[in-house]
Amino acid sequence: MTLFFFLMSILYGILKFLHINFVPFTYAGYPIGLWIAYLIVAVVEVLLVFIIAMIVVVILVYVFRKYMADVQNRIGPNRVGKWGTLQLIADVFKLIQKQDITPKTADRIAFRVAPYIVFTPVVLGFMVIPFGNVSILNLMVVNFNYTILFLVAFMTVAPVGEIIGGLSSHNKFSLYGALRSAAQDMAYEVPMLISLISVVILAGSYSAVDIVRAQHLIPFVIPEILGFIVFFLAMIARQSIPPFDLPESGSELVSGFSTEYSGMRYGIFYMANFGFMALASFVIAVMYFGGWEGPVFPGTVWLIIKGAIFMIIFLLVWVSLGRVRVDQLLNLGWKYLLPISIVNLLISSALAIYVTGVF
Amino acid sequence: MEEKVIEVNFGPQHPSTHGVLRIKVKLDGEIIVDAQPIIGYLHRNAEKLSEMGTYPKALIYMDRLDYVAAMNMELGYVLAVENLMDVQVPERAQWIRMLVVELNRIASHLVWLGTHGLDMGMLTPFFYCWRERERILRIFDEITGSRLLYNYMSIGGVYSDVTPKALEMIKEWESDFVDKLNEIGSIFQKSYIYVARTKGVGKLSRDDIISYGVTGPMQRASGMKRDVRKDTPYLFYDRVNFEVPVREEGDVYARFLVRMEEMRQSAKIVSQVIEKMPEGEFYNKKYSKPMLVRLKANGESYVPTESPKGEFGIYIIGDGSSIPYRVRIRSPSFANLSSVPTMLKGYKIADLTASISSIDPVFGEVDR
Amino acid sequence: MTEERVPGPLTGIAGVAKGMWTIFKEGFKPKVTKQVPEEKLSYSERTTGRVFLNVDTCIGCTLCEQICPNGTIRMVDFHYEKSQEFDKKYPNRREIYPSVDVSICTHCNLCEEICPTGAITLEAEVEEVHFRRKNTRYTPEQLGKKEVELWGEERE
Repeated sequence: MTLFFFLMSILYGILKFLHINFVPFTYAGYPIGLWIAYLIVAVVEVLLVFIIAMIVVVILVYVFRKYMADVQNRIGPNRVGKWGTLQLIADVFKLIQKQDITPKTADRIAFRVAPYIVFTPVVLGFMVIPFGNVSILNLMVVNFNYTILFLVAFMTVAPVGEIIGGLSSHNKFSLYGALRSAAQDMAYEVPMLISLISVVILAGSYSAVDIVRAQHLIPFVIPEILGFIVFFLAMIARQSIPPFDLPESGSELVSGFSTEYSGMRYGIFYMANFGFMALASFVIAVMYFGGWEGPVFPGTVWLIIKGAIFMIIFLLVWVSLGRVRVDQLLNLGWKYLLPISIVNLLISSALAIYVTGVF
Repeated sequence: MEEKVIEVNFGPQHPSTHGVLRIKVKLDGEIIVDAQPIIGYLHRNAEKLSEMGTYPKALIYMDRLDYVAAMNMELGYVLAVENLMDVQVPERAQWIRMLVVELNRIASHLVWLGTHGLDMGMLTPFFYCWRERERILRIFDEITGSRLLYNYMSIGGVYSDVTPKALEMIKEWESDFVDKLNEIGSIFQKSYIYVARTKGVGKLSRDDIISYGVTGPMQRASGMKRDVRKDTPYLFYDRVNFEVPVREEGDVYARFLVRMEEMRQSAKIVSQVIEKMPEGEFYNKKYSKPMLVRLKANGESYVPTESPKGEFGIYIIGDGSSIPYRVRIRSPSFANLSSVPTMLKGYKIADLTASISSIDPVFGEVDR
Repeated sequence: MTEERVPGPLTGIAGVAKGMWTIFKEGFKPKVTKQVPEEKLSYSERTTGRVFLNVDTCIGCTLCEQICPNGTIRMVDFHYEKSQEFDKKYPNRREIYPSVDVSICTHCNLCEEICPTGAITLEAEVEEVHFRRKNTRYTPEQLGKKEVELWGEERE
């Protein structure tokens, strides 16, 4: 019996990969009978996305360390593995075998849960990005009508993890990091949402696939250049990347909200930071630059190229610029980015009403 | 709702306090209400140890005070002892001393620039400054044998001569140093993030400076034009041309500009010294084995010199024997650091690291 | 008296872009670091590295022990037969020679300055390897040899 379920699940997975939604034995739209097969396929998909996300993070950290060393006239890691490629895996092993110190006066459950709250939205976000259509193959994990809303909901949860982590360690530096994180997150979430809504108005739907399909003539960056700038700055600020890395400022508060975390818990914060950077560059490539549209190569390659270009732009900004002060950060968010994003919303609404047929 | 004031301790171990400084800060939200620096974590008894040995032996303790600019410390001691004992120093030795002191001033300001960038969050100018400083340290390795702590000056001259290879290295260094310095400075100078973070921050007015006894680049950035090299010239500073930069505002950005300009003027002095250096002896033959000659001295002397941090001098009292009776070090960072409470009151936490790194304290000197 | 103007917002944002461009261009210049075990660093001839002793010319005057600031040099009994000409010119009647603990030495050069015969010097020898802590105190005979000759002579 289990062998039958196993074979049916493989068949279902392959058929879903080929765009055929083969769902026998349904009752009012819900699959019954072979529901174990569908469950196995779903679990396998999630694991695949997790592995892909980890691979992307590992590559991104390696590129970051090598690029930062390059700009600073030195050689990055080059002893572990050929050209230093296994360095991050060695670091992960080092972090795992470190002693895990939980402060005695800290709030134990919240302290331990906080890293996972920050890390999970990264993996869930990767499930939403459409990786393209390669001839008849379907490389999109989740495809329904409200994927962008889903994505925004996940990204809102992540800073809550930072705040919980900072507040539950019984430490004044972490408290300051958590407060700064709360203020920064609120200030930059509203312009980000408004510029996202402008894109949705132009495209006409909340689904990521429809947004990419609506850019088959021109990418959205051209009519919405203001929205692009606002979204770019807001994404840098949401993920605490320098120059906006106040919650985890390395030289002022010793390490911000992650001061009391040691070993692999800190490693999870670190990987979540880079994972968000990868996710943000893919989201920008999908929303403003056309996703998988491109002349010669298959679509997935184009998406990866666009994502990689944005990752390098994020890294260059990280390496070169200093840190802004808290009140200047909040000034930028509320006083400048918010009006610009509202202007952008008006422009895109006007375009959507009067210029029909293009999008 | 009443105002609650939290007391936070920026402890001796901190990524950005330039050494072992402890500051007790009282915070109201993000605004600093009061800040008290607590020092003494690097006390190594330099004064007492100098009083237990002969005059030439105490030179190595002076090296280790401001370890980043060690030649200036040695110069302060050696000038005081020579003033006490009326020692004649040949001309070439004075020019060599000037050359070495100005090179060390540039090296010290490069350290300041790199760590200042780190405190502001910029990671890359740190490596560029260290790369430039490495060339100066190789020049020192060629002249004196050591990169950081030299033991090069002696009473009556210097220990060894400047080789022709060292002169070649200096000429090669100075041909493109100012261009590279301008390139590094341009990362800071016009960048809006840096300017907005440092303009108007950490202001000290003229009255504060006079009352705390602050000297050096901080004094010149607040409008007082004082430089010991121009007011009471000691080596041959009256025979070279250089200018003293002064600014009016007194904030962190003004101190940055003053130190950048000082580096350029020091490079100018170095190129003039190489041309003007005469041939001759580099030490006084009567004091050639200074350890064997039991130097006796009586009286007291103090010669002020200009170190990269401010006015530095050593006050020596001799009582007729070959061991000094009292050696008192006037360290500029100690006085500069005492202005921290006034400088920080009313500003935010982010301004704390900016202000303290603009004082440029070195704790070997503060704690002695 | 510096006439630099403080930049305003517009020049400031252009300055940010210029700073990023400067740093981006640096990525294409050659590296300045050296991979140390494979490539060697270069030192000058005057580098004050490890203490070397020329046993033939040492007369046992103990001045180096007196001047050493942290007690690195101690005189020990050591029997050494000098050749005829060295024994006439540099006699060492008490048969004591300095021994140095190379891990405590601060390389301050005072012993070299005070030695009346020039027997104790600091040479450009900066690489040292030891397995045990007590092997860092060198006997007068070991002080005469370079590091390359001393490898393999570890005693318990």
